[in-house]
Amino acid sequence: MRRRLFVALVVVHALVLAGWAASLELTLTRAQTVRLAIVQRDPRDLLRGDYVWLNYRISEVPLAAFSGRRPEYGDRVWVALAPKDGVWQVAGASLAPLEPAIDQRLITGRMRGFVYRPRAQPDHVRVAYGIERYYVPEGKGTAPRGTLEAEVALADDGRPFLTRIFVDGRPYP
Amino acid sequence: MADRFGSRLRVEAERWVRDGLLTSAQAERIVARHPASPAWFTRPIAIFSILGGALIAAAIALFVAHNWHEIPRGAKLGGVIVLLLAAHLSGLALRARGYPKAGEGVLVVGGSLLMVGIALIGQIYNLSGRESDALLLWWALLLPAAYALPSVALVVLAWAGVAAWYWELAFDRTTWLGAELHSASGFTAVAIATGGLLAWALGVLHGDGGYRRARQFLEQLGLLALAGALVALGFLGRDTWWPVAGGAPGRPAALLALLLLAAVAVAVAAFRLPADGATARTGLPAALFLLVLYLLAVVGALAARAPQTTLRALAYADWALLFAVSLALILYGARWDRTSWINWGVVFVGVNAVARYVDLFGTMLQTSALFFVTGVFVLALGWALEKLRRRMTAQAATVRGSA
Repeated sequence: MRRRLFVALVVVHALVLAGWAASLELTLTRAQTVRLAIVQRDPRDLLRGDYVWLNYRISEVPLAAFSGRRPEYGDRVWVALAPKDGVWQVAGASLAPLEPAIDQRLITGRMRGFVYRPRAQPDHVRVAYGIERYYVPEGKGTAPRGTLEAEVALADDGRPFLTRIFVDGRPYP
Repeated sequence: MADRFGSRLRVEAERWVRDGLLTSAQAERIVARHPASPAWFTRPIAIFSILGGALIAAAIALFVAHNWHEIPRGAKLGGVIVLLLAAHLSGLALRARGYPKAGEGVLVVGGSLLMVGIALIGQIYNLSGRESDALLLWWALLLPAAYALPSVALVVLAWAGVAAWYWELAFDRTTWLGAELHSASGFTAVAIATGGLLAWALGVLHGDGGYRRARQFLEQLGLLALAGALVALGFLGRDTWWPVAGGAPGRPAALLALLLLAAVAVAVAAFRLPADGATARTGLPAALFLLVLYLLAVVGALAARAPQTTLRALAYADWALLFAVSLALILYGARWDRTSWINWGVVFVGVNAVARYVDLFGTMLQTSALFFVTGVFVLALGWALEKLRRRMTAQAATVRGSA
């Protein structure tokens, strides 16, 4: 009896892994993709291997873009993106769900602090979208110099999935 | 353990024959029931099996981490799922064929592969979420399976996952607990001490039966966390050790709830302590309740931004509490035959002494005075215990003589 229960629970383990992957695949097939400009990169995760650490231009959102109260650390942030010069940039931000314009897309993240510059009050907030790591084969963690862009699939609720990165328009690695 | 019992039985049996309690033939028959030599291998087999399983799991994890872009993602995940199922089924087959310890080692591979699968999904879909969420999913799936079988190695692995999850939760300020702990320096140490109390109580609840190894693991993990946190809290009020966080700390509702849970866990665990006199059984839980009250006082002082003198007073109380808990562990460890408690108690007394030396409670002369007074106290305690032991031995001899 216990043996059967254990086998059933192990099958649940396998189903959770397979089901999770299937739900992510489904979200990805329904998602719309946008290109985002990357301004810096960079190491190794014990279980998931080498990755490129990505910091996006949209990671810094102007405080002026927010309507309503000032964001605080950990707040969920909804950011509207609009295309400009081939990449998508911040068009507006809110601490409540946004209704983007017809030519805009919605992305969600979490406020991770203010951006401080010398002798100035912070005028931008740092937002993490959960797409800051791009896992690559061992030894490919440092991308070559060039213009970096990321292809990101956006689910209807704004959840982003990083699908590819490009160096000077070519997929990496 | 079985081997130690066998060796001790041999020594005792010789004494019983000398005292005329048993005949030589009876002693031989009793000793023959507990052969010492095969038991010698029990522990190394268990250790090698689990170590081997952990190494294979680590090898597979690194193989996956290498990140094979050439292999389609479905094939990669499918491969890990097949390996996971194969490891568990092989573990079950080994147990059924009379190789329980080797089976446990293979089950550890299966349990670890679940984590590898979670990490693989993170790698494939570039998910850079919180580590604590991945650990939560892992132990929440593994723990029921571990108890369902039951497999002590998987139980230990799953509880290690819970400990890692709690650690991540406490130190990541984006989590519900971490955000709260971040609001005041010192909250994190209280959370670790609370986690230690919970782990110790959970360990005691596992009893001395089939889950003895799980009990030992959890008890030791709990004691380690508790002592580590108490050593850190001994520096409370020192500016260099506890930089003041900006802003007023929020109300630590989650931390208070955890402390309440720890108090309940200690109360429940008290019923699972070894059979002993009522006073002895309540002594240890009472000391731990005192610890909970102390931790509550620390939370209150930190939340109210108490002045430095109050924090230093709490630090002095911490020194005394750590010392009292260490002594209680040594005494109760000896009384209930829990060697690890004695070992940890001795280690904690040493760590406390080194920490106080580093802390330099005033001048070197004052620290010297503190060490001297503590040393005299410990010597006096040892002398009193020796006197008690002699009196009890004499009483036992009188009873034997009159019988």
